Amino acid sequence: MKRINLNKSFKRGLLVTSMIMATSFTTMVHAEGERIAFFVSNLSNVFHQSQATEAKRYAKEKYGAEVVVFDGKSDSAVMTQNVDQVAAGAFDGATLHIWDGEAATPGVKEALGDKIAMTSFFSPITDTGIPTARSDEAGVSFEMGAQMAKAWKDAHPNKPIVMVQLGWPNHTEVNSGRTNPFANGVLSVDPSAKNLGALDSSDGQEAAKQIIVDLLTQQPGVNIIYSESSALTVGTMAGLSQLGRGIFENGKPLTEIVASVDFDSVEFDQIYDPNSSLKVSMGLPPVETARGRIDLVMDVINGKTAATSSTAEEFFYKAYTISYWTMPKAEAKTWLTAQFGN
Amino acid sequence: MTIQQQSPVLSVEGLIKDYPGVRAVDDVSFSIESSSVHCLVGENGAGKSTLIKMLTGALQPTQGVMKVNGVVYQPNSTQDARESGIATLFQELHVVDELSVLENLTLGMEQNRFGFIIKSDLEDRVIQTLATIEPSINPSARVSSLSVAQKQIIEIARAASSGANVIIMDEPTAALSEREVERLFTVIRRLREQQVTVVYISHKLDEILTLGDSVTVLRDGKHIVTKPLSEVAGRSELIDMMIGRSVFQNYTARTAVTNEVVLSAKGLSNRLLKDVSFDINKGEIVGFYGLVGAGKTEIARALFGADKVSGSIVFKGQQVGSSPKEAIAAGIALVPEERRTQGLFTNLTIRENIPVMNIRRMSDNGIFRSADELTAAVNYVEKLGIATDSIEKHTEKLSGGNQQKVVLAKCLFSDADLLLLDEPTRGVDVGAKTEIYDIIKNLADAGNSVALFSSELEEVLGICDRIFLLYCGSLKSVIINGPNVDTTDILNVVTGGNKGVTQ
Amino acid sequence: MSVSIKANKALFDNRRMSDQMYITLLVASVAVGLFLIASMWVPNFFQLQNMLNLVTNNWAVISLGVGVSFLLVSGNFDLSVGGIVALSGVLSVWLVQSMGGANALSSGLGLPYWLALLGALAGAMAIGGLNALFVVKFRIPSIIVTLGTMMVARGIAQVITQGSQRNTNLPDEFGVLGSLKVFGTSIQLPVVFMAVLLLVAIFIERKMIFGRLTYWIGANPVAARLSGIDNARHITYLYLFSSAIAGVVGILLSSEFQSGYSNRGMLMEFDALVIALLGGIAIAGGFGSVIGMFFGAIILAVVTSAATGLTLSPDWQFILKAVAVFLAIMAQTWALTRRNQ
Repeated sequence: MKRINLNKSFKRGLLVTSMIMATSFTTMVHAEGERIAFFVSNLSNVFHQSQATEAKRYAKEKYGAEVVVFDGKSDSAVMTQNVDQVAAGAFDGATLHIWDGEAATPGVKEALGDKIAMTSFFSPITDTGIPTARSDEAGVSFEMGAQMAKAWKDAHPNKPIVMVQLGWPNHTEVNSGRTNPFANGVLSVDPSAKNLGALDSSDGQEAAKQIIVDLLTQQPGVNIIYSESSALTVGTMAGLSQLGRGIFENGKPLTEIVASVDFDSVEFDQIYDPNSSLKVSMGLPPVETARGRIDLVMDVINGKTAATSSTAEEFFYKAYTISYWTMPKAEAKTWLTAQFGN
Repeated sequence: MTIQQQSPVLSVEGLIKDYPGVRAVDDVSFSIESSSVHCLVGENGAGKSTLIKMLTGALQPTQGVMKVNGVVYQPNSTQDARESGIATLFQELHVVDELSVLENLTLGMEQNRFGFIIKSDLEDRVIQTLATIEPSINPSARVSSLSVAQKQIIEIARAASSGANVIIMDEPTAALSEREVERLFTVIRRLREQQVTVVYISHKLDEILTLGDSVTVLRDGKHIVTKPLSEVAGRSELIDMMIGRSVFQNYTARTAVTNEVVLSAKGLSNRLLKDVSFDINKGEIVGFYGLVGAGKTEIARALFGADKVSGSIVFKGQQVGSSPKEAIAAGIALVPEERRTQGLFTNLTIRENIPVMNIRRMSDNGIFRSADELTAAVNYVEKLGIATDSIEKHTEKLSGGNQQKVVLAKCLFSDADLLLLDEPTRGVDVGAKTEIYDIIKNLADAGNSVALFSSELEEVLGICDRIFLLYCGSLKSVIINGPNVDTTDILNVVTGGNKGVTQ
Repeated sequence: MSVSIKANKALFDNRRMSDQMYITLLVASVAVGLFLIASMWVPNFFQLQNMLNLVTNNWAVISLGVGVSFLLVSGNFDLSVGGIVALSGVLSVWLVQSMGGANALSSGLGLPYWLALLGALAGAMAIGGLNALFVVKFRIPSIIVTLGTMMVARGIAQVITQGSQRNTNLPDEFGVLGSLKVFGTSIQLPVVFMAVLLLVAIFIERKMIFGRLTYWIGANPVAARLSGIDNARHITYLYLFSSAIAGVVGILLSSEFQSGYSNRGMLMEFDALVIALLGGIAIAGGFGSVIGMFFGAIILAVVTSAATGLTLSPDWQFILKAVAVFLAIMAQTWALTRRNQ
């Protein structure tokens, strides 16, 4: 069909542009000590900015190593190109953040062949078997689910729980870190809760809004919503607002409770507003994330961790449960300042 | 001389072709001798192109027999004709610009075995043919670097090397300069030496007199004569045979004609036109007559502002010619040459076609006057006798004559004072033709002016008050219509002869 | 004279329904039919609120569809609207963000809100002007031109937001336009904008000279020019209108979500094109209607909504949509051929 062809040509156009951009964005700095390539998916994102700053500081202080940041520009083609730069450049190790594992695999294998310590962040890369650093998202997701189910049952003991997740149903790490443990958390409190499952919101805010409006019209009984990224939460809350929902009454749930991921200053206001139904969010800490990633790649360089294994070894570091019920407002404010510096 | 013993290379006997309502070719018999240049002449509509189409297999005759070397010949396609040794050089060229001369010459004739092209004597043969007819063309040159004339020669060489005995050339010099024409003639003469017969069709009588061995004249679908050109006493005899004395003259002087000039064109020039100047008066029907490519359409489009030309066009004291929009606002309307692609909105209805040229009248502060549109549609369908059961009929479903009437209705609705009609009756049946002439006359009698651009002599002689004769972009002569008009003289002028030569 | 003159009355009486109306009715019946079928399968589907959702969820793409439909009828594509949505949204945020924020993404130009809106609209229409310039003046095929300007518009949006979004340091009034409820109902201002736009567009298309000119140009641009129509000026207007609509959509969306997001409106240009084609607008121009486009959007909305209600997996949603589009287009072709045999 015409649309698909146009779509393809558009993507091809983007690909070409990004390849040109990628070649002009890589810089090489020479210094003593180990050189580590630190990938972020997009350096304009506040989270990744904080992460990169902390990684540079921490690596220098603890290991005397130098960190070079590679910006993926939210473009999987750029990220893949960056992997090839690592294989070609004088690096001792790299911690990758890659969206298209398939495309990056040859570059990763080449780097491994050159004895460069390769690690990944968030998702393992295909069958390369390189160790992977991840936030302990599953624990937080479980805890959020449990807290929400409890809050709902306390307020409405006779209304059965119906839950739904908005996100990326086909994404392995999202399922294992967010969707599944969250559902288990809810079920741990109320085994009779009904789970409608995960709905695809990968198109973004407008898609999240459309799904909420359509779904809650046809199934008004939905009362526990996990919106699996802060960008989607904006759409979720807009959809609820259009339906006249999305509100608490002085800290007490009326129609539903919402959870989010990527706690930031915009969500801070809503979570601690006793009249909003957004009540919990997963706090992903750039500081701990950066340290965890640097530690892992240094462990591989120093031989404490195997460079590869048959199934990728996963290493977890702490994520936080930011909650209206369990974390005081002042503490949340301190957390934000400590992690993001504002 | 063995040739005289042979049967003619190509002959037709009692050939008839009927179209619905028209007999385009009426009992034509003649034969063409081998190794000659045989010319075919006749006015527009004399049946030349129908005859050619039957010879090349594009049309099948209603009755009659065609023979090649004495053997009955019934082609169903140009491919069949080709296999019987008859090739055609069309006006549009069929060469591939991206390939070399040699590749073009062998295109479609490659011999292959299991999908691999194998070397054969084919290449040597075509190189030889090309060298014989035009040694100056390098076989490895890219065709895109060649001139139009050279591309034509490539096509001729391709036909010759594919073993054609007869090559039909339909107006081959239409797009050539004088020097290129000379070159083409040299090629044709060389072909004749190579025992190839050329059937040559042209409006330009001088070419025929220079080049031809014998000539066949057609008129109104009938065969008039076939004889050697050596027995023809110059242009005048040829012209007499082409028009006979049959030109239908029912012109009567009109009283509505005035001396008041409405349009004055001075020094119109462009790629084709050469310093053309004329006036058109109020109430007058003027004709522009000339062969295909003489510049009729160019003048019509220039007056209408559709194409830019140098020179000045003043209409009722106002400079026009920069855009059709300006022309329409000033009161000029054009019925374009190509009815379907330039005149009509074929996928819209009759109703929707009519008001387009008068947007100002249809607009009520931007709101479309739908009621006026309905009334106008019904009125014009009745007034012009457009044969339809509904004004909601899509114009693509109408016959040629009715389509043309819709285009006329468009122009009439624009309230123009000067109507430019470019070939208004082409492809229109006889009945509708008469009706269109009546419409034109009524319009002029009402005080409007009409300019008729036509390649049919009968048409301009039938209704025009004055006739401008055009040849190759120049205005050669002006004729005031009347009972004493000498049609031979007119044809002489428009075929490139000097005025007065035939007298 | 061989032609008999028919009576006035017959010419009127024989007027049958136009192909246009026929196709529009067909598309509308397909939309209604699909809704009824979905109502049998999906619980709680048949209710007023759900019908409203079909429209309100799609206000953005229907609005864009208006501009795209007019251009398509005139024989031109507009694939730049999605990019313009992103650009004008990002501009409206950047221009109004106060100066001196904590980082690059939280400080803007600090203009008054009304001036920021005008600036965003001007930016959008500049892209429309660019489209018109290349299509009309340089005669480059519109599909190529607007594919290019789509990337230009989104590219500028990405530069301003550094490939991400701007959502801080905004004045309080910024979120009002996009989420204002009208007359105490749950209907939001953007939906009212769409409804008004749709009515105005139908009026222009059916009743005004401007609409007629669009059909004439699309049906035969050569004949239109030779009939005294200024094609160049008309197509310029159409591109400017389409970009202005896209600009307003971008402003309203960024207001509703309180952010200028460089990926907003991604692929919306294709959605707008698809609903226009679903609505029976001919890809070659000269045929189709805005009402058809509206029902084309409803067809897609019914499928999306039913799939959401049934919580189908993304793969099945995609297949379902593809089948619906395919069937709808087939039905049109079949019906039109049959009717005109």
